[in-house]
Amino acid sequence: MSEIIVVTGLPRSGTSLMMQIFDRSGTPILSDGIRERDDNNPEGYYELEAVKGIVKDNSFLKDAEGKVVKIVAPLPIFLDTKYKYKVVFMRREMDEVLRSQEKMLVKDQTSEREKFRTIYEFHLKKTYKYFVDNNIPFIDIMYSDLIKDPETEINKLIEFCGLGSSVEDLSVVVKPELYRNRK
Amino acid sequence: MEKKKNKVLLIGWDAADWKIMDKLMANGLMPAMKSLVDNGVRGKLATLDPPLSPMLWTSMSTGVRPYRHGVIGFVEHDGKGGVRSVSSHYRKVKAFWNMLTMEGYKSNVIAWWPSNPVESINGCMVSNLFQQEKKGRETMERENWEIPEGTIYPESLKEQLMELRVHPHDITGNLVMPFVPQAVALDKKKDKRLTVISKFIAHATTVHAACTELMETQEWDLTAVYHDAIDHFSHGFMKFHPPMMPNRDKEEYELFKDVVIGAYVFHDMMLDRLLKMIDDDTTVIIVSDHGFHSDHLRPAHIPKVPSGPAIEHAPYGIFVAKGPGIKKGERIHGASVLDVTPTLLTLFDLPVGRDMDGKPLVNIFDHPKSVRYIDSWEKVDKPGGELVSVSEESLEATNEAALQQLVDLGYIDEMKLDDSNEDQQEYLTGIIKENQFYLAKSYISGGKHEDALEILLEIEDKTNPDFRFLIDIINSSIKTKRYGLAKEYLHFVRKNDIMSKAYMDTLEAKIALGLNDGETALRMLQSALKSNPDAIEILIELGRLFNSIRELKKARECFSKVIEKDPDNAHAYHGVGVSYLREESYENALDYFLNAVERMHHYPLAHFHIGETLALMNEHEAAISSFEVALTMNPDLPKIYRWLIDLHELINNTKAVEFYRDKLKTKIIDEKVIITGLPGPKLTSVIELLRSRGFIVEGDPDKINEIDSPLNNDILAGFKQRICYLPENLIQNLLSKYDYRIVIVNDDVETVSDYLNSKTKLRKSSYNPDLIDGLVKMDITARIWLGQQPNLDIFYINELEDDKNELLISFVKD
Repeated sequence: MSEIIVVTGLPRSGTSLMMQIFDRSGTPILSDGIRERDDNNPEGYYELEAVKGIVKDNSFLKDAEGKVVKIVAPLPIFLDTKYKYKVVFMRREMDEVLRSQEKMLVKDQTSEREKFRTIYEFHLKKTYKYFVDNNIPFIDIMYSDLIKDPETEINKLIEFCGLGSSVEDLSVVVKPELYRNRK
Repeated sequence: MEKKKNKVLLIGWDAADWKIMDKLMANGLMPAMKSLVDNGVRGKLATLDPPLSPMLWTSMSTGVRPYRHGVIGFVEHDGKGGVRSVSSHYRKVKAFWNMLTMEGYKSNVIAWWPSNPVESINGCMVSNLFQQEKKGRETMERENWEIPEGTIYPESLKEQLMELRVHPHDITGNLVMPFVPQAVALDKKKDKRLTVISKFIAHATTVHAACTELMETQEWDLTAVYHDAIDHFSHGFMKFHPPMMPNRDKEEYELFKDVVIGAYVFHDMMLDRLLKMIDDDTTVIIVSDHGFHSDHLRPAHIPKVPSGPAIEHAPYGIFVAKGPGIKKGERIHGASVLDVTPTLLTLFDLPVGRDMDGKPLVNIFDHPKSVRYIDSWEKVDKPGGELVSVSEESLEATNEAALQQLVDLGYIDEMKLDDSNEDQQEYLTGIIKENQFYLAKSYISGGKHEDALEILLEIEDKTNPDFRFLIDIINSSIKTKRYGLAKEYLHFVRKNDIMSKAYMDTLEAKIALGLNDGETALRMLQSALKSNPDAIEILIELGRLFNSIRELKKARECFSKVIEKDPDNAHAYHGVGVSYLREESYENALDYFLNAVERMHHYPLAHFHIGETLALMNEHEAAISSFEVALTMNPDLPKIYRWLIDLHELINNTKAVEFYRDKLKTKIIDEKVIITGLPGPKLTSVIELLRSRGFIVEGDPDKINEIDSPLNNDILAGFKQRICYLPENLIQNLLSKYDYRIVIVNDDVETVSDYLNSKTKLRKSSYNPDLIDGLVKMDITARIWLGQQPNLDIFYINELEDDKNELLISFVKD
């Protein structure tokens, strides 16, 4: 049984960027292309519609073996433990995540920023706990580190996931101009 | 000779309260209860928040909190898109009847809430729907009164028990007269309250009949029976109980003033019958899940929110136990609804689960009772009884009737079962949200604020704000030190004017305290008190602040007001005790601390202060006992270990000294002793004394310019020594990476001002109001901060006197 690579993290933490890296590495991606590329993710989202319904139905996982699938936090807690996983956990400074989300939603949420910060903290905690409790291996990749020093982070990724590509080849994906919502 | 079986009769009276019972016993109106109290032990049974009966009675029958047993609220999701009355389905852990079944004991369990459908236990079970005369929304008549499936186990007892039921129509006028002596004056057609009373009497009588029948005809080791009638009578008629509440109709008052008394007397008569059916080897336990306000604490209005009537519940229920090996005529303290199952297990010499939240009440026994433990009853692999299966059709009719009953009692809103799907969906969403709120409350009650906050943030909806959710979000944010979140919600609450100004000010004060802004906290609390001078919570917070800044008389005034309004408020007694302790008036302090723990036994800080007071009174052995109690309640407070080490040293118990030293090593990493206070003559002389006794004290209060020095991140980073002087204005910057013992030298502001003036070569008598203001502000801020830190070990010193000096030396030494 080949493992499923799950790319997770809070929305706007660089999960799509990580999917692009996997795409470049030639690892099969489980996505349906329903969500189209836009200004917020010019290279596309690499998402699967069925992931949204994971709470009630996680049967799509049977098609994910040997592939990479993006499942934002905290939805990985609804994974089916009968499969084997490796998880790439994208992390980004919370303030940047919140600002990036606000920009994407074109919504001023400053009056609720602490609420969302707290909810996301809980989501992260819950997701990590699930991985630890179920002995699912994961690595953290900081979005800022990935942008600043792609070689080092991608090296970690290649080692963790056993990818066949070179660091140089995959680093091409990381375009610093995408790191645009930082203050 | 055959060993006699020690049976247990457990009686549950929902909402029974000592305040009323004590009066009735004194007047000879509850003789059966009095005989138990005189020949057994009595105590208060602390309830849990939220005080909602199905959650509480399940905690009572399992020994765990609601977030663990899973029975939440009055109604539950039926798993098919609808709701049903709370049932046995959602209970996730074993109840005592399962545990006894596993160990071969036979139980009769009658009408426990919730217990439908019944379980196939070793013994008999009659569910809480047995007495129900409704089918759907229709009332069944006597002659075609069916019994729903899942109500009786074993099924073979059905015919026998059915015959015993008393229908509300059987309760004729004469039977209602003891409750409403002037019933004839009522127009029964217009006023449905007599019908309601008939129904309560019929239900209680039916439960009693099933109980006596099973006790008489079945073999049993435990009989457990639950009556909801006192709760129902109280919700309906406590508002007419004497003395007459303001703004009540005099005529109605006269008509219904005897109803609640009648209910208690009626229960005593049922109790009398049960007591006559048992022998001396049977232990009797009577419990209630919460009390019921019967005096000036009765609310004037019931809030229009789900479960609003629960506001009438008082925080303590009753506990009575009488039987072989149980103390006679004594009171016990510190019992909780969580302790009932562990105590039952101990009575049967069965092990208590280490995973239970409650504890066995070993203080009820004449002689020390050994308690056995197992990790968990959930891991015991023996049959304990399964839920009996019930047909869909029967389930539906039963549920609708049970739901209607809850609507009638005001616990849930009127259903919209006949309305459109959309309305039903909305109703269901509301019910689920409400249950999530109760779950969050249960987490809060268990000190799990993170878990509560996670739920509350999910269910909160700013487009349709619910003040209850918002209050708990703000409080849990403060408890988890998320002050930004607390401020964000308080801002929303203020902007939308959702709560009273007083309450909002109190919340702001709590946030300010967390952020070390003592001045704002004080200002907010004083403002809150102005708009609501009777609010207990504000008075308590303000009293604590006054204690912190040594405004001891003002503190006492606040706490005394609370005691006047709520004579059972343990926090108020504790607060007065602290004020006397700070004044070194030890006997008064001790008196108040003892009063506090009598009212709330599980109060580690009060036990700690009892220990501290006794130590200062040179009652070393007694002090040790108190610190040991405090330690069992809070084993993480280093200061308790230090006191125990010092006291055992004084009585030359080297073994204990070593024991507690070893324990303390596991609790702290690095420790600093901080000497602080206003930089006056007393502070200087304390430092001089320590230096003269060989201690190295780093820092110098005479370098007064340091008071205004900019703050460092780690204020102690440059300090090499264990003992340091730190100006008061920097105290609140102490980082949590160290453990601290703090010596606070009390001096008055004017003396210090003179002292500082003389040091700066000003004339001693020159009055410097700016300096005095600055010192006052600094002292207040520091003391408020210190008062809020639970882990600091603080030693206050007023005068250098011989005996005090030795305590000081003992306090600062390594």
